[in-house]
Amino acid sequence: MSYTPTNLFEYNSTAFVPRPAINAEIQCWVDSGGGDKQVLSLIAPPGSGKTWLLNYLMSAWGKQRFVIWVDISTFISKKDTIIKEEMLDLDAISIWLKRVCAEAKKYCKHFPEYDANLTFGRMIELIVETACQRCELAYLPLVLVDGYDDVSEEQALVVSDRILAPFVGDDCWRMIIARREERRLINFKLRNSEETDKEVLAKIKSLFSVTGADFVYEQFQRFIPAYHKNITVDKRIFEIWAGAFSQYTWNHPFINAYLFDQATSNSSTALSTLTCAQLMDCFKATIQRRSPEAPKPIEKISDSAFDILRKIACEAGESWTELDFEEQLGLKYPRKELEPLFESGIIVPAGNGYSRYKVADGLREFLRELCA
Amino acid sequence: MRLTFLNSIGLNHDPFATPVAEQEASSVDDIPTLYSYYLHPKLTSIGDLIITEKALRQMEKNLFIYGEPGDGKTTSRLVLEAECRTQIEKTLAVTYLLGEDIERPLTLEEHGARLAKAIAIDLFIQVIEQFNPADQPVNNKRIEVLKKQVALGGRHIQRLTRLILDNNIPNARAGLGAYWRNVGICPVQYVPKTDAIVELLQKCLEKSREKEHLTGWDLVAQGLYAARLWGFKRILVMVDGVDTRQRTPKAMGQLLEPLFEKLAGLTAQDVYFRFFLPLEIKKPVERILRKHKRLQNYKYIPIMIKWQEDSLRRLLVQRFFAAGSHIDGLDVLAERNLNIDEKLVSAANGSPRRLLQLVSDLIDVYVTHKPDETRITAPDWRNMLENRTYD
Repeated sequence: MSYTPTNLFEYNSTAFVPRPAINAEIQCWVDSGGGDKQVLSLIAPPGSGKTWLLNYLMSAWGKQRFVIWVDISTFISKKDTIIKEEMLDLDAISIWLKRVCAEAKKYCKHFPEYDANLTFGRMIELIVETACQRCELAYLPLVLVDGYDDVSEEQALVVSDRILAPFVGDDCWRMIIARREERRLINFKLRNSEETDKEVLAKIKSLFSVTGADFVYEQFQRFIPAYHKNITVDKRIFEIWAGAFSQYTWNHPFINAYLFDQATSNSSTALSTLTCAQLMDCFKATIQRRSPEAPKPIEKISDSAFDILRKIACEAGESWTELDFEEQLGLKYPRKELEPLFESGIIVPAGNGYSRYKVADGLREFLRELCA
Repeated sequence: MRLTFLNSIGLNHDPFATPVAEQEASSVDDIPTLYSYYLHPKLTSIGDLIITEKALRQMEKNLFIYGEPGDGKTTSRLVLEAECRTQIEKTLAVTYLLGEDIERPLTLEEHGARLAKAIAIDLFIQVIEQFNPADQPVNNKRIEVLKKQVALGGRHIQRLTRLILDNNIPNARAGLGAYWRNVGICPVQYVPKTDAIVELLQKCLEKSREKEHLTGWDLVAQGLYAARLWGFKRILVMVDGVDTRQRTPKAMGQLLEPLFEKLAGLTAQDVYFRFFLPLEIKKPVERILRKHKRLQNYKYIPIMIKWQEDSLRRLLVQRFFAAGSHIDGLDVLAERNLNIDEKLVSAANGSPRRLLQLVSDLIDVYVTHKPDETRITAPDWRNMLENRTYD
């Protein structure tokens, strides 16, 4: 029986497993840290829950703090164009700005009314200025940015220049941008304002890479009421599934959810009997973009690139250089095949410089299971 | 061949094409990639006090930033200017270049005339860049002072105004900002062509009712008044270009000396200087400042640019990353144990310009390789050192 995945990409507050430690760390950065650095990049591999964490912060903090949500992909025009003036969907931006202005009024009466006669850039500047110079907000206002990876570099640059950069025009704002490692901030204001404190970044990174049986167990406990309310799962079977998952080494939120969804949707499929093809489908779903309508086309990973990737994960050690690659795998470095894997965040810098790379955490372990 | 190679390793442009800030800033039409390469150097003042980017911009003092040629003085100046123009702090960034077009020391009055023109051009650009009719309604007074600045800015500003009025917005990241290059200014952000801007520019081209015959420092005062009226709270004057090749340290000192006489008076008007100077002139400057009675109570703040190996290494990585590559150095292209990045950083001897030139030379050696040798080798390194273009 073929399996159609439940919509696992859309944020679902019931299914979300809170991660209090990382929330506290981010809150600490937003309120006291930062100094003259106003931008925090939340960097993690595909499927590890960046968007969900932002959504959670939005709902948790939005009650007390002025928080603006930016989904970059919604600002991109449907028109396929290279003309910068036409890349943005001005109607979508107007709707967003109207909402932002209305929301802002709840926190301070001085925020401007939406004015259709002003350019959106000026409107944003007015909001930024008002928050810093005329309002006495109890907490620093915050911008949460999602969808940075879902648009092309050119589109990300136009949105960064015209919508995001004005928010770092004054010290009183903070911004959190969820992105993959390879999608760096190019706009110079964002880049110059980006947090670079290694200790802070390492702490956030380690807190974000969730591991352990507790997380898997809670994820599954929340999964059934969130997606399959009408399914009754025998508690004993549930314990077996959760136990089996906690033994796996990947501990990757999306992969866990996908495989559990597959097992739950098709009662004839026990986790232990998942085929290699099913695991591959899961892997491909993990690296696909959230929505097929996202402005950036879904990355196509060729079968040959996929085979190379599996070989790297299984044989090349945790991190590797081009030279290691050639020596250990006996293959000439396939630069062209690997390029889309870098592009989609599957292969990332190993973090210790000198051109060492690794398969993204979680995905590497999953690929190793695939080989087994 | 070089570009083909760079493309093949995932770079979308050549980030080592030139190691000179002025050339990098002027080599493209849009917002310069220079800003995405930028890495704030270590700036230290007396007592090893570290000067952050923010302090460099916000300290209400006159700062003297010293560095060797190639240490990144001009890059720091360009980035400081870009930050002033994009932060909502209402700081007018004025670039005052004392370049090779000046053949003899200037008198105080001549400095005034040149500075007034620099203020006029920068004020005009930054008014347009930050123009917000909701915040700053256009009234006759504002128009009148801006018209005077347009007139003072001369033919270049008037031509720029016509260019904006007569053409569509350019297809560039900077929008109207792409036109700033016509007056020698780097675009730093997107500037829309709004009806309000068009209306303002049309008014600026109308003939002024008042005729005035001001000169020198009176024109500076007029510029400062115009800046205040347009909402600028303070002015940073960035002095650069003093160390042109033909100028001796003594000539540099003589060129700057009249300007120092004005420091105290201008500081009282919220005008602060940032002098970007060669290290060799540090002592002469200090002598001049001691010599002038008026400057005896003046608090002199020298700042030194220092590049450590770790920062140079990050600079190299940043260049690769900014060009869209996942490669973070040349080690990946070199034979095992050559440690080429380490060699490059060491040979750069604390100079970012030297580092970039060495990398560029090495790439040239590499791309002219025999086809059967696919990696940078030890002989390549020696060959590059023997034939390097930068000493």
